[in-house]
Amino acid sequence: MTTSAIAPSLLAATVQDLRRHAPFSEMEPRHLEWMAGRLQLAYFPAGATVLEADAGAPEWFYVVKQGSVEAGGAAADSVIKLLAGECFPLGALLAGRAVANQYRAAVDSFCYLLSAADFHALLEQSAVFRDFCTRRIASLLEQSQKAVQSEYALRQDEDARLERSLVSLCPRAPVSVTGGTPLSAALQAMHDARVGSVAITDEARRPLGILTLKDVLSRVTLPGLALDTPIESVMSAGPISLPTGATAREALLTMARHSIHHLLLVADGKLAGVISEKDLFAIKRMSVQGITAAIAGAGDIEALQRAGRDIAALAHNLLAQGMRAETLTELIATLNDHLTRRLIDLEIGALQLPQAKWCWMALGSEGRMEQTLATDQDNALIFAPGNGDDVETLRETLIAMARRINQGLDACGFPLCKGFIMASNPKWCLTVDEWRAQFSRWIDAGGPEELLNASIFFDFRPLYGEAALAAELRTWLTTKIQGNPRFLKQMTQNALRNVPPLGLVRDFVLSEDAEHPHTLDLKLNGSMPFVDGARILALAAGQPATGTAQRLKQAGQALRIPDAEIASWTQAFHFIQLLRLRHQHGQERRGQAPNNHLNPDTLSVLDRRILKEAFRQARKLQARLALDYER
Amino acid sequence: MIWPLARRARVTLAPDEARRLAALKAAPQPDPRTPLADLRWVVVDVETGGLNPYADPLLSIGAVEIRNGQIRLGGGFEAGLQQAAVTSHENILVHGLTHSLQRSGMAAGSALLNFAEFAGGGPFVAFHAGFDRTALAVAMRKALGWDFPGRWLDAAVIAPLLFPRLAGACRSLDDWLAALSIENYARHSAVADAAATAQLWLILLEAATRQHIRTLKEMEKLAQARKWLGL
Repeated sequence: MTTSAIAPSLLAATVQDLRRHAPFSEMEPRHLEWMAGRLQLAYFPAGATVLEADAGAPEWFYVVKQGSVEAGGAAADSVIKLLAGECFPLGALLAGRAVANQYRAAVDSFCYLLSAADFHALLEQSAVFRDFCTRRIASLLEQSQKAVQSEYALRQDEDARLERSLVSLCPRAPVSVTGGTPLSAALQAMHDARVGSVAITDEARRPLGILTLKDVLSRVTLPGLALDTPIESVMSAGPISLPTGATAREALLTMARHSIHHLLLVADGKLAGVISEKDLFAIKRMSVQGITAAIAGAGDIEALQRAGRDIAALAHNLLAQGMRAETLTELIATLNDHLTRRLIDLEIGALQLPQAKWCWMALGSEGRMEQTLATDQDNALIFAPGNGDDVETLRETLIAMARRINQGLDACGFPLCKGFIMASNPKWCLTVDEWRAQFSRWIDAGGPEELLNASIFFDFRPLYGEAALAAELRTWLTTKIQGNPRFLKQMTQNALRNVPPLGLVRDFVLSEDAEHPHTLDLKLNGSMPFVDGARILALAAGQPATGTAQRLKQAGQALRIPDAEIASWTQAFHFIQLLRLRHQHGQERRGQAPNNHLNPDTLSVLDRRILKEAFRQARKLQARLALDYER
Repeated sequence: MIWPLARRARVTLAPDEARRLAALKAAPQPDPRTPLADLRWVVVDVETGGLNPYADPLLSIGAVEIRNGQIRLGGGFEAGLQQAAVTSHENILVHGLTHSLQRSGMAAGSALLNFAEFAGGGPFVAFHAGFDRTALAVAMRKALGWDFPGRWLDAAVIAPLLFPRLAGACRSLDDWLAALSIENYARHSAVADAAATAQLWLILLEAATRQHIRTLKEMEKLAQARKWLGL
């Protein structure tokens, strides 16, 4: 029986009907005809289920022809009404996942149906249709992250709660007094309001300090201070504060970073609230603070090893809960910083160190605060010998110390660096002058090895000790590079050699090496182009930041790159980081050693599409570098 | 065998057309016990040169199929038939088939074979099915010497039985489309009318299922009941 019959007038009529709505109105006639030739038309009486939630990947792409279809969960307020011309379920089809919502006909309705296979074929053919889908990349990205959560069967609303603004979490008006208030009155006010802290402000309600109950014990009760003492003499001055619009997540990060339990909220420079760790714990039963406290109280390497494991567990947990990559990597870095600092504390406590100035520096991803779950250590030492100090003797002492620290870090879950980029390597335990000479050599030579070193070392960040030494080195480096356009050019040429693995025919160009066949290297091909690009832009703009997102932001402003471009790059970078974290998370759950080699076939269609878009962004960033610095 | 009522002319077919016709004659007919949802419905609309299906020439055939409760919009059938004589001016206004279009159509024999192959034995649905059925039968007999078999259901008969409340107000296809709020496009090409009827049929199938009419046989019985009831 022949089925090749075509009815041109029916096809034309269908095309004409579709054309009344976007994106079909914009599509090329041949694509629209192709689509119309594959459409089915189905009827759904009011109340009929069009698509069942969790019924496997959808078979059809739907366009409402007439009537209305409702999509929604159990809650009545979350129902979305889809009218004529609207398409569904876009996200589920792209991701190849079951729809999250049930779709029901609200009234008697007809829908056009296109098979999932034809939908994907259309996506490939029609740039307009594809753009229509990818234009919603942000909202799709959100869905992708939500899917991560459901994948690990965790409550979806937790991330949303972390995104809540602090002011919405503030349970009560802040208790505040002026600086001259006697302690007795301030403590009475705290007691009456049953709160653990009091904010101190000036007459204009600008915050001056904070006093917590814990402070009262150590600063008032134990020293036996008279209660008529003005509160300003015992308060913690210069309190840490956040704007009221900041999110719970930012508050958690800030508390973790500063090891504090209370934060002031300010609006227009005036005190607007006080938020405590307890308030945040109420919305999030996770213990960044617990780990921070455990690290601070750790008396031996075993305690730090436990903390190291806790950090990994917490990171996995937060990842599973759908925390964003940028927050998570920063949180991991912050906690790792705490751990490293405590470890150094413990190690130098056991040593007799000379009175020289020195600073422990974090390099590479740790320097950029972009650590993933698979992180080895990259560190170095800078020191300034005092008058009469013998440099070599001092170096030997510091190297001995560094060796213990490197081994300690190894024991805590940060493997020794395979390339020996560690402070215990005499090559990387240098005086201020030696570092300058070293950096100068790299900048002047500009060979492949020098450029590789520069890419690791120029992301240095002080972690312990005399931070000023690292800060001065940073200032010197920034000035030095400003006068060396040739070096920027060489760095750019080197960075441009790392081409994003976008294929002409297939989606991606895959590695065929024996060890990791059919994979993409998400670090080398994924995040590296962004990291390298941001470094070049930051160095060119003379900006001191080391984090990639921060670098892009700072340099973008200085170099007048459009905000939208910067935002796209940042988003793309964070997406790749998220993929890396998810990949490593999965590997660790399966008992494998985490790496960065991902088989793209294991990604959903949606994630593949976004990854492709992220690579395109890398290409755009590289195009800008080529234009500005390669010549 | 010689058909006693034969008004049919002696028909000589080209060898490949004869082969196609033989294959069509040998093809199975749908089992009346088939559940409604499992049937492949062929919804038909024909245009003729006048209002008398026995006498007026068949101008065009449009058809769409319904399978698994879905109209295959992309797989519709449409054919204009070559005309020896051009039809009257009034009909052009109704159908929009201009003189040149009428002359440019496909030879009747091959158009009808194509249609029969597309239809694959039905069952057939049309609005005022008697008209379409007769026009097709006459044309088939004339061009192919074939008594076109098939089970037919008339949407114009079934609709008032399943929606008795609307029966009084609805006579034409347009009435029913309006009453059941079916939006349709570009009417008055045979295939677009067939698509419109097919949309009506989807609604009728759904209503039939709700009234526990499950098979083709039961649907046919419903249509016959109407005759006995004298509706």
